[in-house]
Amino acid sequence: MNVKNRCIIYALPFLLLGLAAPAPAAVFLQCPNPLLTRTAAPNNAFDPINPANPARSTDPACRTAYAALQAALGADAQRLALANFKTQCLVDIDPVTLQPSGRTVATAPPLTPTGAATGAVDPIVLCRSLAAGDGHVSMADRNSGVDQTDIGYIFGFQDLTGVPADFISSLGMLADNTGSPLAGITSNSGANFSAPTLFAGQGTNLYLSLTNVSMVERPDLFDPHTIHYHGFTNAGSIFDGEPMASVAINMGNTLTYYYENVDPGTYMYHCHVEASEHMQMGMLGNLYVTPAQNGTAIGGFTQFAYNDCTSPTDPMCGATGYNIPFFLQVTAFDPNFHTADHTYNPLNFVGMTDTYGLLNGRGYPDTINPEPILNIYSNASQPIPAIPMTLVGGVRTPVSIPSGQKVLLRLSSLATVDFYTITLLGIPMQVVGQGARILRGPTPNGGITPGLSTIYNTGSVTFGGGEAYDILLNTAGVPAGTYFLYATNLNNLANNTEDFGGMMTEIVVTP
Amino acid sequence: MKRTAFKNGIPVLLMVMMLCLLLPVSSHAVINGLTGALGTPVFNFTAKDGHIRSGDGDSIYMWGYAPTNTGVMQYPGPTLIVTVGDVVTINLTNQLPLPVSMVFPGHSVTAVQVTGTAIAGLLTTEVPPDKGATTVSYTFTASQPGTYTYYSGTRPDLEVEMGLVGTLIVRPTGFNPATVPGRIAYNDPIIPTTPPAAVATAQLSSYDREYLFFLSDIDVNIHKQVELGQYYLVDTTNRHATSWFENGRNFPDTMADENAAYLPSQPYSAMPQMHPGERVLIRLVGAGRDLHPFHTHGQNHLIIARDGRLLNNALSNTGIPDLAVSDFTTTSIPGETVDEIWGPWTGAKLGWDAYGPAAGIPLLGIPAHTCTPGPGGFDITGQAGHNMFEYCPDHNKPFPVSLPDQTSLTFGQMYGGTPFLAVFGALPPVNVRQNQQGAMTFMWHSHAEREITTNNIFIGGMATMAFVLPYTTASGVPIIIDQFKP
Amino acid sequence: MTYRTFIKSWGALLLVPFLLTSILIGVSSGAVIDSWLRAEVKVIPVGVFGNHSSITMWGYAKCAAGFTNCTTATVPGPTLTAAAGDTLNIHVFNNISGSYKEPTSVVIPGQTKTMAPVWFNPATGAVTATGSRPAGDVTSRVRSFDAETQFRQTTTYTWPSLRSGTYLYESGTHPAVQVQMGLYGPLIVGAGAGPEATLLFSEIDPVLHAAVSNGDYGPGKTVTSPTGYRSQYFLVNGLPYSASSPAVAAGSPGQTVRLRLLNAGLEPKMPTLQDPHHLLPPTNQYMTVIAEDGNVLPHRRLQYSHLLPPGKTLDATITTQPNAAGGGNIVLYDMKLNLSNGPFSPGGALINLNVGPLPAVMALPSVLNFGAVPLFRPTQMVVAIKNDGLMPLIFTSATITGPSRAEFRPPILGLTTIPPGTSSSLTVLFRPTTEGPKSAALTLISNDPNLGTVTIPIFGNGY
Repeated sequence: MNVKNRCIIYALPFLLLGLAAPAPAAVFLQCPNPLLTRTAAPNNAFDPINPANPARSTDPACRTAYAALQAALGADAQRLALANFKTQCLVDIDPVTLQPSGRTVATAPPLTPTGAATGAVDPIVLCRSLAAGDGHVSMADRNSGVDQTDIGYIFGFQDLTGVPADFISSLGMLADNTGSPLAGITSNSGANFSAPTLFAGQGTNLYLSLTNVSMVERPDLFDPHTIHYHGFTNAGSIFDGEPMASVAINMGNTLTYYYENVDPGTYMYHCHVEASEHMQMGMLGNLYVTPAQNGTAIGGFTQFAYNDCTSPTDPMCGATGYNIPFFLQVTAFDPNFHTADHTYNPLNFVGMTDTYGLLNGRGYPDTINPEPILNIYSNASQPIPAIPMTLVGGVRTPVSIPSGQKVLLRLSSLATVDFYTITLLGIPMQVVGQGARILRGPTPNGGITPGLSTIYNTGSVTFGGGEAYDILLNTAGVPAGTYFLYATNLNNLANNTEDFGGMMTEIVVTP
Repeated sequence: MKRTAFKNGIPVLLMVMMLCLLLPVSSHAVINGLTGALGTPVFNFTAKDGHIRSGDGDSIYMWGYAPTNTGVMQYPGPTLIVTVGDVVTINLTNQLPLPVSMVFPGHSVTAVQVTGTAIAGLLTTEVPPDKGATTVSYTFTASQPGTYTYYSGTRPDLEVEMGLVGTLIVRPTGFNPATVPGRIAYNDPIIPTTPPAAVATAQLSSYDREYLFFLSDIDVNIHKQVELGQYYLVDTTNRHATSWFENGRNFPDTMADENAAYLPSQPYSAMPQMHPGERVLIRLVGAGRDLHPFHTHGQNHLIIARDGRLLNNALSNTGIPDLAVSDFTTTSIPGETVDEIWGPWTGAKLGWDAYGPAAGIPLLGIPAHTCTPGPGGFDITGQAGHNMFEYCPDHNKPFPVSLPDQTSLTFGQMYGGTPFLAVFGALPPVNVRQNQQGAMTFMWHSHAEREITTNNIFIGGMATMAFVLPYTTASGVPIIIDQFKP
Repeated sequence: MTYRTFIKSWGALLLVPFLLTSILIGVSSGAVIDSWLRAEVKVIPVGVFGNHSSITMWGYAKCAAGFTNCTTATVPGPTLTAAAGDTLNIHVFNNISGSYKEPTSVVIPGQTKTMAPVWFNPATGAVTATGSRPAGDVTSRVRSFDAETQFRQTTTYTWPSLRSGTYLYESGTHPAVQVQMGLYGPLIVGAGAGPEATLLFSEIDPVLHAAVSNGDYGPGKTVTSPTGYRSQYFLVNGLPYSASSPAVAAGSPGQTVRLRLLNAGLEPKMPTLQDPHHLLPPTNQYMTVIAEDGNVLPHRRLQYSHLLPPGKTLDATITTQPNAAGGGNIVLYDMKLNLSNGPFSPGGALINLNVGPLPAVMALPSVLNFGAVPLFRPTQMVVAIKNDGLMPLIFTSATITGPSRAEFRPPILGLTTIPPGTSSSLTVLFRPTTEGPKSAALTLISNDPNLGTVTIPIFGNGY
């Protein structure tokens, strides 16, 4: 068997190349980067035939075949091919999520470690890179003398968008804060909680690379990890992340997920491997998709939760419009479970009892802190505040709500035990969406007339893990002041044994 | 975590293998249950004890309703399937040590002592613990179609926990499982539907397949206490759930066959199977003590009814469910029923061809396929073929990423071997092949992840796998879904 | 259980001119409602709930103006009633004695009010901020959502214009403890003329109550936070079910009854209907849910059960059959299966709704407006009274109250008993003695258990 044939035979089972097919042929590309150490250099010393990345194979026949294929590709595939370059994932920080935007450039950029790429932004392609591993977080009762070492031990994700493959492992792993070898990238604190917020515009294509950097403080484990894009419509099993139905990525390797964001709405994501454990341990994050209608002026708004205007006469036009975006994810920790996991003890699923109620990974009053919360190693372990935020001149700045403005609260839960009821004392709630769908009934006549609005006003919403609401907070008629969002399951207003904490945050309304 | 091997691995494997081998001729799928004479169905139930098999291999003492006076108790109780307008009678006797009864929320029930000495209870007339001497008949008119529940109205905090709970399904006028227009949950009007749909006009309650999802939770410690005869000492305010069920089974038993021989007291399967483009009716019953977030992977579901009433602006059960809401997770609440339509799943708008390259990959046995756009862009011509209901705008779009090499991945036992439908791909040696037809596979489960365990064993509990099977194999052999047929 | 406890203080209306504005733009009478509530310890003796030890609770005692003539504290607190647009003043006197003392306050989720939160440092107990959190302060914690009432002090909390609907009033200070201890009650704004039943669910964790009562709660104590909360007793209107627990009046056969469901507990409830005595129509054993947290739902929900999460209120109606002779009980029970008092069953969150036979008063019009009347000219208006119930309606008094009461003459109760299904009428006389607007109210007291007091505002203008 000659080398070329070997390449093809190896490649096909891995669904790599449709070489037999005429253009446009199937080309499978990886973003931002495939295989950790293996791809540090174009010529991979460990893998003479690298079917995962034929362009970098040491096998000249593979490289030739790949190049020929690329040449035959149309523009669409070329665009996909461009996404293969790691530094196309920009690390500019989104002002709402405080996370890397993941926007890519359309033309081949210079490959600089800091991601200071040049070229036009591709409006379609988003690249994000996450590490899955372990880390430490700090609960809000740390000042009362509680040792956070065990209870704050997590499994989780860390954003490594823009980090070259050579550094993903070292930066993604849990380690002391010895400083980053890369300018502009400071994190090597291990996993964050909540996980990095994923967000996208409707119509974008998200390449989401997941590198399993292993759990440093559980060297006995060899768990793979996945991403489950929770609520993704018409999912294909391969990118669904449920490990029995799909594939999961092993330690030291990278798997790229691909999602075309067709339906706007509030979703969530999490690891689905050994879900009872990995999710309680913290592999949970926010995910939302903004509608194509954004940017169009309707009813005095230019931002919307959903495409609410099917025609100029649609009575729901502008019904989901808002001024200020805000997202909150409800989760909770069982300190005994985390301690058991950190100390190599048997896990107690029956006894799982969440006593730290959290919003975006923080208990009150950390919820209102605009800065990252630092863990016991002084690493920024919980970067996402539970208040509306923006960046002003690059500085994290809380957003107050001018009275009369509308806030879109994207509220999701990934709690693994309990249902919670969330209220906002003094500010009425209007539920405009749930399950990543606008609250609108079915059309009665095949689409000739739009469905009925099922939007309703309420004082609280109740949900379990895996449920999400889109809620408009209308501050019209609300006096200026500070308002409290909290769980009406009032026993959760505590950080475990410390009173006056837990699942609560504050919203400031200004005149 | 340290993995705990499936104790049920063999039955599951057998079951899936059977799925591959059986080629039944009919697919008139209905939910497994008891149907009586049209008009005046009569059922004779006995409340008695027994054991169920839990997913961790344990045997749990239960109280339940037996479908006949000589039958074994079952969990859940027998699913009663009647037709709207029927005058339904259940004659109940009691072999348990406490009084028992039956209530049917949403229904006006006349409870009459037939033999012996009944007890005037708080919620309804009760059958005393007299080893069958007393019979009480519960009679009601099934006045509206829908999904309902029944359970003991006697000390429900203990007796529902112990298993005296079941499902009532009332078929609408014109129901006929053999025809597409006859597979309806309600008598809502026919309206033009949006693609994909098997027919251009249908009811919003029309479906191709229906599945029961009876969600419950128990505390095994209470069951042990009752088994020791200490039912009078049980303080249910101390209760803490330890095990979670779909249709009375823990994962992976949820995926075993209907009436599986090794589960004599748990006859009801909970493994949905469907083809692309099919609408799947989920009849969701909250039958435990806790709320459960029921999450369907793969697609949203459209909630059309609660407690047997369509979600209709005019509160009409013959109106369009014009208030129906779509969600990816439904809160299931004790005593409440929800009817929801999942899917249809088509793989549309993935941005890659879910059936592989148009020219196929001969080495993998992936055949060439074409796509002829019909309504909505879906290929519904021919009503057969492995890519039926393909979304043509995605046709031949390349798979967007390169997967790492096989040693980098852990393959799920129900992964089809390729990203593509109807294609069973090559997997490395020692990877199991429980999905040889190349189905898309999705977990339907409680999203309170504590609850996908069985008495401290992961994975188990309130979970199952749903299979989206192509209409044919890649080589054109029809795939007939072997759902329960009475 | 719908006892009416407010005092309508017409004098206050004149003394608080700035409130007048909001009243005038209100859609309703715009009265000022004053409620005097004394927060204090209430002990549930051994055995009342099947409890082996007494349970210390905190409740609200209803008092007359100036905290005179207080009743004993109740849990839930007294039902407050008002009309939409009314101004509500709740005067709270903190009388919570014992080894564990705290400031307290009252909040009403769903009603609008300018709040003055209080933040503190839990380690020192020192208040660090009121009204707003200082810039840069990321460690202070809110102790009270509104201004605090210290021990032995009084604070007046004012809601300038009430929205109609069903609401909980409850402590806004350290709510995780104080609401659980029992500081909650129903507020009903804009009750209609038809029969209603208020059903307030709650639950008790006796361990937390014992810790608070023994001074064992707080930093360094036996119980340091509400985290270990575990409910043991499940109450409706302050009582778990027992064979002797009273039924709630729910109108007469044939009537539509408005159920006002409230959950002051920390856990969800699932109120479910059961109709063993065939009082509801065979084809409609359902409740129609019409409002949530005081918000009228755009689309009603038809369900035989409905989730009632903590802090939530629901308004739902049921309609009984007119031919349900003699009435009887409909059972409302919690399908979350909180249905025992420890090992003893039945118990817990179960209550009987008693459907007649009862009298049912209907009085029209709901407001008497004489308009402009020349000085000293007697002018009369007629109030039609109908008995919609199945038992005789008996009036015990008809009185005129309010600032101008001297210029109105109360009706002579010519017929004090109105048989079922029949009507009568009452005449009110207006004879202005001075110029200007006059207001008063006609109060009719009858044996209608659902609407024992009918208050009809009266307006007129002398010239």
